[in-house]
Amino acid sequence: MLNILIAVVVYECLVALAFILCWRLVRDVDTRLPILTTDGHDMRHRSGTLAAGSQVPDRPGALWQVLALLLGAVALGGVALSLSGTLADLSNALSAADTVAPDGRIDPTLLKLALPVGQLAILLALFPRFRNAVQFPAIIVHLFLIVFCLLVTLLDPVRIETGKPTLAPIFATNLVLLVLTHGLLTLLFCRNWRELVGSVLLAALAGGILALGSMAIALISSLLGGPLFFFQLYLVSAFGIFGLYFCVTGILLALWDRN
Amino acid sequence: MTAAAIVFLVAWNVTTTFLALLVLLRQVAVTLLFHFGRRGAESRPVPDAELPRVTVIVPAHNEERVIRGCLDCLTRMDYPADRYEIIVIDDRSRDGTGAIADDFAARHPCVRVIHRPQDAAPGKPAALLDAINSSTSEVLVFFDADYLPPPHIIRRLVAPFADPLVGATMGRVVPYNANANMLTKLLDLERRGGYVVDQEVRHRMSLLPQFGGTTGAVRRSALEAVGGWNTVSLAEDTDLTYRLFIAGMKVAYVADAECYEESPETWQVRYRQVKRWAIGHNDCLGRYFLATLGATRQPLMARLDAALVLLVYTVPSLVLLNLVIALAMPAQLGETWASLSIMTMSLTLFTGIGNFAPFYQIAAGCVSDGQRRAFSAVPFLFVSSFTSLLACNVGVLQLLKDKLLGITTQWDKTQRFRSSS
Repeated sequence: MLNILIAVVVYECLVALAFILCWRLVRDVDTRLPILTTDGHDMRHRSGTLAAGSQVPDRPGALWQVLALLLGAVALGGVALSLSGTLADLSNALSAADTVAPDGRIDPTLLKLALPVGQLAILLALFPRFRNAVQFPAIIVHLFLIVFCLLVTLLDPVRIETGKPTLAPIFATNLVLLVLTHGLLTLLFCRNWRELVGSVLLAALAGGILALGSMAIALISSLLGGPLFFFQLYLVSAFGIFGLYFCVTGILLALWDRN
Repeated sequence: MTAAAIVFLVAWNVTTTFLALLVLLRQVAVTLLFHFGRRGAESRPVPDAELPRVTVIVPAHNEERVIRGCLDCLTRMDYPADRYEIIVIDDRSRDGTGAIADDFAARHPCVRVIHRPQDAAPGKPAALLDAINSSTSEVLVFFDADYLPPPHIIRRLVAPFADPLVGATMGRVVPYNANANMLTKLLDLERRGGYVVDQEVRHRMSLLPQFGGTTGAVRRSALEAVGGWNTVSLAEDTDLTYRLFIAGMKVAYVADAECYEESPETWQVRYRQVKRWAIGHNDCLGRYFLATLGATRQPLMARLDAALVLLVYTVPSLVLLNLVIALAMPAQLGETWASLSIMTMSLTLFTGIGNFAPFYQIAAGCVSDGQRRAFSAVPFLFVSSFTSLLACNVGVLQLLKDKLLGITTQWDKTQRFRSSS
């Protein structure tokens, strides 16, 4: 059980690090549109030509779009499915190597509560420090959700015991949404062969992210039950899969532009 | 939990999930139409002889930091001087706003200042009504005091009035302080999705673009035909948009009429702004939802789309409530197929489609602007969406409380950040 907890914590820390890296990289990217003003009272104004408005670059042909969609979907689905198999073996090995909880040296309930209570502690620590920061409302909402989950669990403590949720629909839903997300973004961003190769590589990365995120969800499901599991499922899906995918996209776009 | 309570919760969750899904899927459909649909035609310039008489109205309550820039731009407008007038409403200001406006009026004959006394009715809509009543022009154009209108904008905003059915027009709002911090970067992204894609498609498909109350123009006769300016609503612009629509008129979106605004630079200011919009918008939802669906002078698709747009500020409340119900459901029902389905639907709504629909729209907006790098900030949209989530929920609760107690909700002015030097 301790191994599983450590694996989940490592995954969530990696996600947090990816967000921090992306934040630091993206905050320096100039995203202003050129605006039509000759002189302003604010030095932040930038003179230049009028923004392009609704003029959209020419779309590539239908065949190109179908090819880009198919290649992305195959790369994403292929990597997600094949890596999921490998990671399932790893996850089984992690569980089998677990020696802490069975011999009773650490109370299993403490281990189960470590993740949500740890997150609660982090949110409480961030609460006063981030009062004026732009992230504050996100902290409030997550604080509310985790306190709510802990309260519901407290009222019905049996539910902390591991249930048997079916993970296949969760994986399938995330896979379909990720293929759709990546596919439609590819149609928008992908205009030439170089970008198509980049898009397929990104799709493969997205497949890897989905496989890793799904393994984290599977590990959490063997650790937590009830609302605490579903809160973790929400966190991993929103930030650990989709958030991570967009972070990778954001980092690539920011770096591409700089080069 | 009793069986009846469980049935109620499940029914509530399924219904609200369906409504929220409709709104989000609409957003995806609109982006697909933008990407794959035909381009809109360029607007036709109007010859000088055909330009109508225009009054530009600038409401200003304690705006000394920004109003000079706005009036500088307005007094350099490319529009025939004999058909152009600016009315500045010094709305109970306690700072130097009135003096700055008076200085402009002394130097420019086209500028007129209305000083509202301290005991005048508070709020922007009431101030605007004073200006509307004191002007005689057929077309009224509105700008907030922090806006920097470029010289061509009024010509472009009045061009669609050649169509007698057009009651109002709306330009594109572009934040000029997008680089100030991460919040302004994100608000810039939201604006791109909303204007470049959503408003554009609504205009192109003959649906209902939103008249946004600033960077917009209204035909006086149309305003009078639908009962005049609503000074009670906190979203008087949405209120007017829907009254025009129900009366069979159109709102035109003019993509090349761009104007530059200051985005809120702190989450507290953004929170209050969204809360005010949520109160006003949801108030309009209650008043016009059924009337919009029954507006037989408009095409069916336009009615359905306009009704869905009215739900935009309700969706965050539905989504948060659904998430809470979903998190509690397994504890109440156990991990049954029903509770798991509800939980999966709600989570998917929140994490998948909830994120994807606006992200996709924003991506299309960035590509259209020829600025793909701007999309790199999109992973952090959760930061602004949680501010909106919180503000919308508090706004809905305050609206319900005010309605129950019969209280008139007070206007909350948006704080400015530009240095006045």
